[in-house]
Amino acid sequence: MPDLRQYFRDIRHRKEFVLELSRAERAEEHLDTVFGQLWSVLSPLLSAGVYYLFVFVVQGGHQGTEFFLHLVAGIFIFEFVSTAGTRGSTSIVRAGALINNTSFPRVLLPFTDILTAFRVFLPAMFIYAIFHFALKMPVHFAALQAIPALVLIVMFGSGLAMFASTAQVYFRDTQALMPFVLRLVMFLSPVLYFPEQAKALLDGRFLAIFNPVFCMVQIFSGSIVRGDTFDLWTWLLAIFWATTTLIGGFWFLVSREGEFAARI
Amino acid sequence: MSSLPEFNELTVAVRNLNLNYKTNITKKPNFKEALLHFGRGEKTAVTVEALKNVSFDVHKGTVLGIIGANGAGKSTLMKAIAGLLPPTTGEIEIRGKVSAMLSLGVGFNPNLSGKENVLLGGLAAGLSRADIDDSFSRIVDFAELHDHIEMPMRTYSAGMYSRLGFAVATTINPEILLIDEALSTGDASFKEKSAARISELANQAKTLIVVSHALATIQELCTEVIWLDHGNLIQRGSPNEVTAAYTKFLNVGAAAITMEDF
Repeated sequence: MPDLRQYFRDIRHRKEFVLELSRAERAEEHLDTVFGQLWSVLSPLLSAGVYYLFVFVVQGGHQGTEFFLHLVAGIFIFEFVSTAGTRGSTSIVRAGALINNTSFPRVLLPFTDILTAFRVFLPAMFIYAIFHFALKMPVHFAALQAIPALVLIVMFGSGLAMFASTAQVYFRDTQALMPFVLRLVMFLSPVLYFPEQAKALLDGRFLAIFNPVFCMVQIFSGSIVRGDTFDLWTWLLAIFWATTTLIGGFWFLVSREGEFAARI
Repeated sequence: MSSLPEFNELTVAVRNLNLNYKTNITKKPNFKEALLHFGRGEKTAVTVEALKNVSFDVHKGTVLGIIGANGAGKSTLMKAIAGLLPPTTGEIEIRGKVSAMLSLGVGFNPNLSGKENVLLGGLAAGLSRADIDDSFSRIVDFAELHDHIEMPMRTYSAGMYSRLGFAVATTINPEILLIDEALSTGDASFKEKSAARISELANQAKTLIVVSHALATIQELCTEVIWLDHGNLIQRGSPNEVTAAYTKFLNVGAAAITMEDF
């Protein structure tokens, strides 16, 4: 492990690198234009449509406006987690020549992808708000809980991106495995169903404990859609997993970054 | 950093450097290969002892050439001095800002323009945007890329890549400049220009460390040479002395093929 104080100083010193790299990559992928942003929202929106249809068929009808909004909010926030995992998995390998030429804290690379994913996620929340108001749903005071929940999700996403980007250096098929893992995690999270609808595994209590994103997604979507409030246990689980993933991912990357220049 | 008097004029001090790293022996480093090898009870990675107890000093104004056969540890040594690979044991003391042109230099994202790559490479190296903006026109002039600097780097030829890399590494005013195998790319006139730039930097009391297989280039540019073989420092001395010993070791004499830039 490098000297962490110096490491954090180096990170702060290179803020502009992260901002500029994210800006350049978004521009290159046209994510900085109105149509580019619409396009990036279209994909989760289509997923929401497909899953809505799936639930419509399985449950035999429309499950109510609340369920529809829950589905949209859940898919949107999960899209952020997915982008963190998939895009993040390539962030170090993609920067091959830079890794082989310049000494800088490698965590900046997954951080850049998190920033990009977050910038892509923001317009999606704007689309959610349009749905929310168009369907004449009330705005709850409890919706403010979505802000700390989002912070926890960003912490989790950063940890996941750091972990996946390091794993990709050693196992180049991490990127290919990521979509399966993420889909599994999504099905085990309250995205396609309300948390109280989970029947298996001790009525979902097992999932709430062992699926890292379960409680974060529950708080984010539940607070903005239905104005739910949550017990301390749910918050503590969300905080535990966000912190553990962030610190674990950081440790995994930083303890191994000395090997990257020999392996890329 | 220590302020011992003997370090006063030193810019790079390598002390008892041992560097081992692990590398994959599987076709591709992935889960599938790892599982298949695991199933057969085979290892998927081996430890390479790339540098063994290497010590040397480099002073200001020195152009140090590093020569040796493939696999001698030259590039590993450069990466270690650049701070990319941490020493396994021993230490490397660096006094001053390091600029490196190893592998392809700039151009880590071929979809971004040359200009964006220069900016991003500079920011990653810890320079400020103002520093990079100041040097930018000189970089483009030196690299002779006026018509291409706004174009994606995937459209560049290998020569254009290395010209830009060399221009960036030598323009951002480093105190210590590391150049690995970059001098043998580019056309004859650019080679001449690069050599002139290296002499100019050496005259400004910068420290340069150059890896090349082109012994003629090494003899022409360097003030000192070290010869590495299988991770051991075999000899250190004047360019003529060390290249003569090296070519004798290779048992080919000073044949044209090793003297030429290729």
